[in-house]
Amino acid sequence: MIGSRRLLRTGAVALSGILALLVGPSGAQAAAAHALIQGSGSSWAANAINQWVADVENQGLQVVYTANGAAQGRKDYANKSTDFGVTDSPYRGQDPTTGAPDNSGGRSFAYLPVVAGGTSFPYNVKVGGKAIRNLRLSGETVAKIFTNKITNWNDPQISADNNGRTLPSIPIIPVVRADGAGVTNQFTTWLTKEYPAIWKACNGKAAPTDYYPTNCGAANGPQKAQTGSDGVMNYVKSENAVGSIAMEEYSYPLMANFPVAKLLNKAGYYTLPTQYNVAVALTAAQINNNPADPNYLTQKLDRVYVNPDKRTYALSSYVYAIIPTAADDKRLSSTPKRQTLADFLYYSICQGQSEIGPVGYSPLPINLVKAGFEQIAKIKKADPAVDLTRRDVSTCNNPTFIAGKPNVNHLAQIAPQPPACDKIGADPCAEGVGSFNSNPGSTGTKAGTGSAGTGTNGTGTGTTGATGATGGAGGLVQDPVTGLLVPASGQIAQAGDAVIVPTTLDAGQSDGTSAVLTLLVIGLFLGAVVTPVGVSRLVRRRGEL
Amino acid sequence: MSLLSRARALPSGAQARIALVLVAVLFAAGGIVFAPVVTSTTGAADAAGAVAFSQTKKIARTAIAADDTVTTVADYDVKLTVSQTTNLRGRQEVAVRWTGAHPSGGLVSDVHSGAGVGVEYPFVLLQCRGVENPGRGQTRVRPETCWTQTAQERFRKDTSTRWPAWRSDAFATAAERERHVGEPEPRPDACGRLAPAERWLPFIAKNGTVYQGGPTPLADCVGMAPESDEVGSGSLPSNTTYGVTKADGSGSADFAVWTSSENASLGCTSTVDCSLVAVPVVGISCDPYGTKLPVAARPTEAEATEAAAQCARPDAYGAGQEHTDAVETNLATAGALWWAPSNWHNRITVPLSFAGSDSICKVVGGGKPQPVYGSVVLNELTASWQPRFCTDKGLFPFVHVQSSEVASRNLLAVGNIEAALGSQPLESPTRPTVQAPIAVGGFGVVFNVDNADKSPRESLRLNGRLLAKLLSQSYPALDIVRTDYAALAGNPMNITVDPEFKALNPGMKADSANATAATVQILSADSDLMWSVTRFLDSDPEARAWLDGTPDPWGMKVNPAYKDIELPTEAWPQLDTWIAPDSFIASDRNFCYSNSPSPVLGLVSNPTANLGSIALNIQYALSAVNFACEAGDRGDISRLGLKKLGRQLVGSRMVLGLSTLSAAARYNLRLASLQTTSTVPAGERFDDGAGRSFVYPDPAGLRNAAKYIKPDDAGAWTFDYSALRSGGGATAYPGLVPVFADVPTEGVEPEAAGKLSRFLCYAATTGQEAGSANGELPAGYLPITAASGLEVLRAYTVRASRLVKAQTGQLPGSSGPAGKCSTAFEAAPAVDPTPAPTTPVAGPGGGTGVLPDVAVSPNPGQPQAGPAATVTAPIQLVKTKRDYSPLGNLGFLVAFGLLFASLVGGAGLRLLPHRRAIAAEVSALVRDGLRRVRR
Repeated sequence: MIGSRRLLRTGAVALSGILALLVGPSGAQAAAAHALIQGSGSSWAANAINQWVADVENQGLQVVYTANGAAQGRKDYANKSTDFGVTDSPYRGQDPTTGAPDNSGGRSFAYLPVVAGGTSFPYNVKVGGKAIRNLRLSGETVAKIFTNKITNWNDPQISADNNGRTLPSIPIIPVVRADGAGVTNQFTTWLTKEYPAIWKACNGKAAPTDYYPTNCGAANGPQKAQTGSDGVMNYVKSENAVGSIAMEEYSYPLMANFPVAKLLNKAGYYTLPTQYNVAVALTAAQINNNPADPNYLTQKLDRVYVNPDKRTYALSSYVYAIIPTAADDKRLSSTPKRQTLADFLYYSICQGQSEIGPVGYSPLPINLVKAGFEQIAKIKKADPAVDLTRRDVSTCNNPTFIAGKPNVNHLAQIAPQPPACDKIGADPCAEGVGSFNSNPGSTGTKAGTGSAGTGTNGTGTGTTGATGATGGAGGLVQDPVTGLLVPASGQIAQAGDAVIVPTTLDAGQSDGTSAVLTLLVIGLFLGAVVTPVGVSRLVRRRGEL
Repeated sequence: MSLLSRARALPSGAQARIALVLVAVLFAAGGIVFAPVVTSTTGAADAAGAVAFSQTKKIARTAIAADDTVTTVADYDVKLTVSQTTNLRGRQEVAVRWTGAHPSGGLVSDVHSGAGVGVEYPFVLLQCRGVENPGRGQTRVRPETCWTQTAQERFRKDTSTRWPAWRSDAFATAAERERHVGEPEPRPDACGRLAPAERWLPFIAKNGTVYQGGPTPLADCVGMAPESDEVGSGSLPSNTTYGVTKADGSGSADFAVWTSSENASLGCTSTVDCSLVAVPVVGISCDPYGTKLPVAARPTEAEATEAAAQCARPDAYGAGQEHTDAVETNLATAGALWWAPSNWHNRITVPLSFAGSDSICKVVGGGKPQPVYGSVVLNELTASWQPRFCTDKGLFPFVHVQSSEVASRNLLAVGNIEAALGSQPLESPTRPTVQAPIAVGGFGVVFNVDNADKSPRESLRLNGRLLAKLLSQSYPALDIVRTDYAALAGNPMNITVDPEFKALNPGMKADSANATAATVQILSADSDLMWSVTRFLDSDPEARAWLDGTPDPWGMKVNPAYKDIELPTEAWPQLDTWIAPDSFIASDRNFCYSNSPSPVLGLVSNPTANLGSIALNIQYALSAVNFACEAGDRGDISRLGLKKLGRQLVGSRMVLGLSTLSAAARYNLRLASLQTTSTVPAGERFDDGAGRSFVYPDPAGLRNAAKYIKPDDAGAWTFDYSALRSGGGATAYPGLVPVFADVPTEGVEPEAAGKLSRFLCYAATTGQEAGSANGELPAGYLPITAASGLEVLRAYTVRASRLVKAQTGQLPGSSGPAGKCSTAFEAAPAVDPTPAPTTPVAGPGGGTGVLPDVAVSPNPGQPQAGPAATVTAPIQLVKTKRDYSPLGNLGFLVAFGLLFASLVGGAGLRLLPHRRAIAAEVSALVRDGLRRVRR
């Protein structure tokens, strides 16, 4: 009797197990449906966003992005003609300088940082037909150039920045944006904070603006206003533009192999807007941490501008996505669209961050990624059907943080120190040194070597390591996946383990099924094996009675 | 064990296919072993020149007199063909052509806009949910399930007469001929007073929601689906097409099909049947006397007279005439009444079948992808490979960062990345690096151009000199340049008035007012694409001589700023410095320009940083010339920037761009033929293309060019232009661009080295199988196979894969056998299965091409003003070709398991002493169980 009961029980368990497998756990989820979404805004961030748009296609996400400038992007969002906007500055009611209206028109919104980068100063200065590539400028010099106070490249202040090396007499042509641009806003915010007197004398008031007052409002002058990032770069690169200097996100000149000025920071070093120097600078950013404030997560960069770390690139900043949070949003009105926005943002702030460093941007640090997840959660709050399962820090391939040390900006930690030749008072570094957004020699190359994160004096960022390399073997190695440099051993972790790896599962739509099948097959197999044996035992026992 | 551990990590979402599993278990238990199920895909790219659907229909317009006699006003044999109807993906354009229709009049500039309601005799194309003979769960197609973007396409009212044409429709029911049809009840106050006659055609969404439409949906009367223009200005351009029939009764259009991803209200998916419905508008078949109506409902004699006048009105426009506001369209033959039964019953319904839109790569937990940086020539290729890589257990997810090749090589040199994709040889690499060919793509001149008769132009012939003229800013483009810039004063205004262009391309309109025709849209960032283009120019004797100062036979000279330009170059430089004279600036004729004077021809050229925007601009005929300024801009600092000229009117389009062959294939863009050789003596004028060879980038043209890809001294594989020019290259398309992966064989971490090694293996095998499914080689690339004459490249890449994996610092030689791939992965058959003639690369008329060989009108009406938009045509989300159905594996495993179990069980049972007692035991067990239950 006991035997038969046990057998029944065994059978029941096996059967219920099989049934459970067949029916599946409650809350079975099919792949979330997606629908096309559209956004517009910042051309400063466009190179990064266009890359992500291309990346997520293979996840079934269709995103259309129009880089028509941050000011227009905010207008489009307010007019409900886009599902999301991308902007450098929050809605401010009205432009502080021009008074142009600047609000969301009553549409709900939340800000979500998507990418960091440096506003760089590409320039076209040739001496004897040869392009100068190692120009250095202080903030004040830049401020005076763009307010027409310094008008010739032979200006003593420029010579001083370059340790006494004087350029020939070439009139300076400052190139600014003609359309409403985030880069203008970032630059004028910095001017307002750092050089209010110089800026006020030009602009009339010490306030930021999206619309640059060409030649300080005068009818004529050396300044040229061009439309769009393309327009600015096309102008600076053109033949007659010798003497010109513009402002643009670093990826534009980087992809055009065009030199940008090294900018003096408070520690007395002239630095480039590499992903490392931007990451270091932004560790001093003050983020609005009041979730109740509509400007939650927006940046105050006052301390970035004066960050005392000698790796700082002073004109570093974040760019934001503006996303609708209301349940009754007229435009982002369906679950598939919300799902697409949520998944696109998830990709952007996680995996998307790991590939843009080498092309002129800088990845977001973990605190902003975490806060970004809170903002994404608002999309689900508006529509509970949105699936955010496992879209969190644990699955986030972001190179700024590593397992177990969520509060350390990994990238800022491993950022190399500027070379001695970039210090104020030293002669400018040789050509090529610091010309690329690269890192002092990795161990992967024969050339140059690097210092570990805490090392004292890394090297310049040269193509062939023609720099005063110190550091040594066992410094940095490349992470095989991200291509970023991580300490080879010691302080932080093994290179390959340095970043959270979310899963060992093979990707793909069929992985789940095959696992179910595996269990099922094993279950059936065991059942088939156990049953006859059990029956036979039972029978034998009965027979003995 | 690995199976078990994987099972533990099973994500909950995986339970979705449990029903399949159940079925599989039942079948497997029955001993049926499933064969692997290959999800259906078309093996080769559907050729746009091909015809997937063809139907001819006799249609007529009739008139019924007061005495009930029916006369035929006109009849037609309308024939419709559609290029592709299956395996469709969202936003894909299909080529639609027709013959035998009534010529259209009152033409509007945008055939996709709601303004098409004012066209007489349009050939209306609509996407509708449903089919003619619906199966279970499907809808029957009807006007209410057809998508239109604007309210005016579904609402009509007549304030002057109670008897507008649609009320005289002989094919309409009595109810449809009432004065007010389809009006919402109760009528919202916002809708105002009832007009003498109103006809509302609601739209019924997939989820059942009824959108009433109405005269003013924005002002609450009443409402449109969220995807329509009335809701937000950022909608997709409409796909509803008011196609233009030419005087000979023929016409054509590109029609963009939508899935529910683009338009959820329409809701077409792989499981919801939809159709392309063609309604050839031939006019209302008039029954003004109401002979088809119940007697009580018939109009009075006076009313009938009025109705007859309305319905039998003469047409306002002749065939081909353009619409003007001054001339009122004849409603009876207008596109506005596409839904009227007289027109609707003439429809030809084309069933559409969409590819499954499963997400291929995971949104979450896909693991960290391997990045590769560089070549934009590969954009379409990597978009096809990525879904395969992320779903194949033998492969790995990767991401293609589309950066400048020059920057990528720099990053590789300093060790920041492990793989750079490009087309230029490495200069003094810092460590041993293979340059392994992974694809052969090409550059092409894409165009959107109209003929003098306003029909879209299908072919264009360009030689190196014409391309050099466009690039070198040697056409004045604008009046102010021609009058004031002496160096260009003798040159033709733009390419359309250049005798050389006219000689090669007869039938074009000479349009000296079109500044856009003076330039070609190019990439501003450094690229190996431009490097290849400029190598082509540099090797072209005519082009090079002209750039060096020899005028063309008509006397056109190179812009002095570009004279003797050194080529090749990665980015075409902006060299002209001419600024408009002070008088022009002071005149404020263009105060945006006056605000910031800069070189005029640089603004005409205006290169862009994003290759995608060139494809977009050509697709929508968007001019990138940055010289527009509106009257309202004066004095408004926020509007003082110069703007692009933007959209060109259909009928006078002329935009050219430099792009890739694969982008052209993907965006359905037309490509120019390029000149290879010429026997025409230099300096001799010509008035046709005699003595010149032009090659179109079709499969043959690419294959003929393949033999010119040769290893160079630096170990790279480049196109040998000198060999091409020196003879035998007359039929070789000169824009072939090999792309290779630069991967070091020293210092790469083992994990990355292993992945990149597999990447090369894939590229050398499966990745060269041409086709439209994920993982295959998309249109616009020449397969690197023996059939293409490229076995030596393939072999190099296979050898390179082994050395990349080994990381011993060795380099493969440029010749030798391929050997085996370094890794277990090698899915392709050893023998190349692709017969040469069917290689699907872009090509018109050849039957295997991707480009249409008849008139097509591109799809204008783009969402934002934004020419900078990245509209990426979605990749095809069909399942991976080798994605075996899990059922097959299951069936096999279960059957095997059961077999084994039976053996074991049987053996065990054999040992039992009381075999016959088993049956009794089982029944006892059942009895026992039943007893327990009773208790």
